[in-house]
Amino acid sequence: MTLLRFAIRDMSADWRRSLTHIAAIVPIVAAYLILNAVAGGLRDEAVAVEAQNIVLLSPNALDPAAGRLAPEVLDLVWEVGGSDVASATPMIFRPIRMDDRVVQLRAAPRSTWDSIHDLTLLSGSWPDNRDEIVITEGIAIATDWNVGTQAEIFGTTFTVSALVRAPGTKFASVWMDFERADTLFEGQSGFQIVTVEPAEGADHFDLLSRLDLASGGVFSVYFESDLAEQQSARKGAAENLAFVATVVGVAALAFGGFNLAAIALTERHRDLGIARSVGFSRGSIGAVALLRAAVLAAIGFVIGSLSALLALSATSATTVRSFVFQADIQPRAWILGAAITIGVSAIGTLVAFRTTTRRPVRSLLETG
Amino acid sequence: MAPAHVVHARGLTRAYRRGAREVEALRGVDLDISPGELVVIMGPSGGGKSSLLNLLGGLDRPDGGTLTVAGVNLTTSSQGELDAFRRQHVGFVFQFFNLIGTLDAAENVALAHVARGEGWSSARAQARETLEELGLKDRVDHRPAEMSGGEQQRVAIARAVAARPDLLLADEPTGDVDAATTGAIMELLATLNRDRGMTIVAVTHDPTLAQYASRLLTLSDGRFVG
Ligand SMILES: Nc1ncnc2c1ncn2[C@@H]1O[C@H](COP(=O)(O)OP(=O)(O)OP(=O)(O)O)[C@@H](O)[C@H]1O
Ligand SMILES: [Mg+2]
Repeated sequence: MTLLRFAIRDMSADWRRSLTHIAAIVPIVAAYLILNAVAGGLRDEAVAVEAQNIVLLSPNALDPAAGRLAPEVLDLVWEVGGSDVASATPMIFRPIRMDDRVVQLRAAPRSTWDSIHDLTLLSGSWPDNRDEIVITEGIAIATDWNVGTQAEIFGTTFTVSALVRAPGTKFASVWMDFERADTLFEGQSGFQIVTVEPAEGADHFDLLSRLDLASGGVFSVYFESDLAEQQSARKGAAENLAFVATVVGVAALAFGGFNLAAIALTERHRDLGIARSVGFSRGSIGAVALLRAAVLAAIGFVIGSLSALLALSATSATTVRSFVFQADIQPRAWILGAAITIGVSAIGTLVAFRTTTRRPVRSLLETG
Repeated sequence: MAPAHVVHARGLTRAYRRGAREVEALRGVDLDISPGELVVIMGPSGGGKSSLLNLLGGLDRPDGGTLTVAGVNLTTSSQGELDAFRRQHVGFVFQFFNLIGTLDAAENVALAHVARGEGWSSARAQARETLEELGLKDRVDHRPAEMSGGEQQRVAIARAVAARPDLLLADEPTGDVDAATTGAIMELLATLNRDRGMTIVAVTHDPTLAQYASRLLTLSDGRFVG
């Protein structure tokens, strides 16, 4: 008890060094938690597609939104597919700026939203006005938009009429009627995706390979479900990267905490010498040093965590290419982070302490 | 029953290794000090004065010879026994770095009591008393950086005697202050010896203290001379 008072007294009196110590821990903790949250956000997004739709994209585009298909592609689909095709519909797919956020816009004929694209209404109602749009859950999580929210797109004010659920790659997107989007963008971008719905009883694989043969390099052909898998594979890679980043963060946390604790102690060898000369045992001095390191690490961890939360709430959603995801700090990240910060500070203190106190007391009192 | 001698040393040797060379700081020191004595040790720089005081205070262990201080055999003590010995039997005043910079005067003095296992509040209260007795009443809440060198040394002396040790060791306690302050510090040590019967071993070249000394010793090249 006396030792704890001692440690606290020492820290507050020596507030400059204490602050420096805390200030050094804070950014490492914050960086670690943010990296971890981003990794977690990537991991969370669900991918599930039922229908065996075939999609046509412009070939070799790293990002489908960057491609452009000519209207003749639709004619070609009917020509090649014939009675195996139930429907072929264009979709405008592009990132747009909406209230200073970049979101993924998908514009398809209104009649295809629930039938072909599997959108399910969660709240609100389907648009019946030209300037109405719907948003998916993924967008609602990442923003504070909801039914009734108004937002400006390309200089026109649109109102959100519904919140919907969308599968797979469409998880986080804003939906608009095709015609409306085409006029909004003045036909400048054409469309990026053609969704082909195979007819009842048609051989999907056969249809896919015929379309592929006929593509002549103008477009690439995929099953929509494969695309979703591809995306989740890409996400897997991003997730690995985030994992590596987290490991680096943990290492930085460990190394930083260790060194800080070690330096804090060796810097003060004279104080240790004085305490020893008065008759304090190594053990009781070690206890004070440990308490001190643990309290500073804990304060640093709390402030670092708050900074991370603040940073994450300032950018409530992170947009990477066509992904929108929500970064949340995982509970186990808190626990692991706190354990590392405090544990490693303690270990650093103990190691520095052992080396320092092994020196004869008289040498601790000498200069230099 | 008090021991006949506070210090009883025979044939003390201590050598330091400096690279390949051995420096023999003490080459066979015999010393007996009775309770209530004020012993002043002088001698050239490098003569071994600090080395001897470190041994007497249990900060260091002799390489050879026998040493008993306040009834404790320091030749064979373990590290833990040396800690306990310093807590209970000796007080130190060094030339520099006597006080912990983050603590105020009362807390620095309280260290001596806390080391003995007393609670923080009672330790601080006793520390205030000691500081008042030594005329440092208005310095109680001051940090070392807010005090003069002389005041810091008087606080250090207060801490050294606070727990009423059997032996007070002072290694050039005035090496860092001006002549007037030196006089005041020496008077304080002399008073502690005269009025409280404190046994003191001090390393100093100052004549003020020397005039009160029961014995003047000169340590040169690791041996007492003259
Ligand atoms: N830790 C050490 N390592 C190596 N040599 C040391 C060490 N401490 C002291 N010495 C050497 O031992 C000898 C005695 O040193 P000591 O400090 O005891 O002398 P001193 O009489 O106190 O001198 P001064 O008046 O300068 O304080 C000197 O030669 C010194 O250089
Ligand atoms: Mg010396």
